[in-house]
Amino acid sequence: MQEEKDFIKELLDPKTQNIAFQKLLRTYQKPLYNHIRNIVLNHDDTDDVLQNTFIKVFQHLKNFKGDSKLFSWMYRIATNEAITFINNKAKRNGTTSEAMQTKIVENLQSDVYFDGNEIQSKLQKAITQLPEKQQLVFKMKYFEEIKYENMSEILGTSVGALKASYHHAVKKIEEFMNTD
Amino acid sequence: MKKFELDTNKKIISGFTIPDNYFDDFSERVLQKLPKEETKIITFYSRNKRWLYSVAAVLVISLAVPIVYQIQNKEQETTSNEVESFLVNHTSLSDDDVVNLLDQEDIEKLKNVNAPIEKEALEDVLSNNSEIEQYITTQN
Repeated sequence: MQEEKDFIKELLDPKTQNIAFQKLLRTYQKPLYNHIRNIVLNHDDTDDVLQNTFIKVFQHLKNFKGDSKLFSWMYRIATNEAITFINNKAKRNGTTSEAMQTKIVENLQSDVYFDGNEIQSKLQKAITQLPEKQQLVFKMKYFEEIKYENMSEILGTSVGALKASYHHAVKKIEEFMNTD
Repeated sequence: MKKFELDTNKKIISGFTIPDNYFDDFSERVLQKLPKEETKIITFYSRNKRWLYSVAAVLVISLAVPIVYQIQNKEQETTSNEVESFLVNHTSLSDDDVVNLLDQEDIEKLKNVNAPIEKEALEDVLSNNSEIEQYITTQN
């Protein structure tokens, strides 16, 4: 924790800021990319959201109170950015985010940056059937393997509620996967 | 067909791929987009604003003084010249003309001049000016 406090100091000090921010980018760019990609599904959109996430992190670093870990604070920003992005995109296209996500998943096979077999495509389709919160919990637990304690800090939900959400999600997905 | 169960099934990865070398320049692209530290630009003008204002004020005053002085002098000169030429050219002023130039207040003042000199005032003048006595004597 002390190490993190020192790192935040480096991020705020104009002399060390540049090097510290590059370190932050190197550490978090891949996990945050995967987190955002699982929500927005498309690579180009993920690129936009990931850049915006780091810019927001940089802009709000001075307001970071250290109440939560830097890791969960950044994941929270990335999650909010990703959800806001798909909602805005859906609004621009005159549709709902659910309908838009379903359409993207149906066309995943034509996405050059999706290299999935039949079962992978089907799992993605199964996920889109879930309510938004369950989707998020399932992706974070199953694909990203984030611990419930950390997920609780990121999403501001109790561990018990997250476990229940995941359990419901798994049941619905298995049901979907078992249908033809 | 075997029943699908997430826990027993081999782990399924998302299937999303990332373009080659995507992360090679990612941090560079983000760094370029970061809002630059706002350096306060202090221009010569803003830094020396008060100083400049003082200089401007001194300049205005020093330029204004001779101008105002000249204007006032000119006005005075013009006035006395005008009076002089008026007097020269209007020698045939009748009493009526003079009366017309006076207002009611001036006429009242003139009336007072003709009023009899009060005794006390006369005594005062005589006692304070010893030369008057000599003057009267010489006249006689």
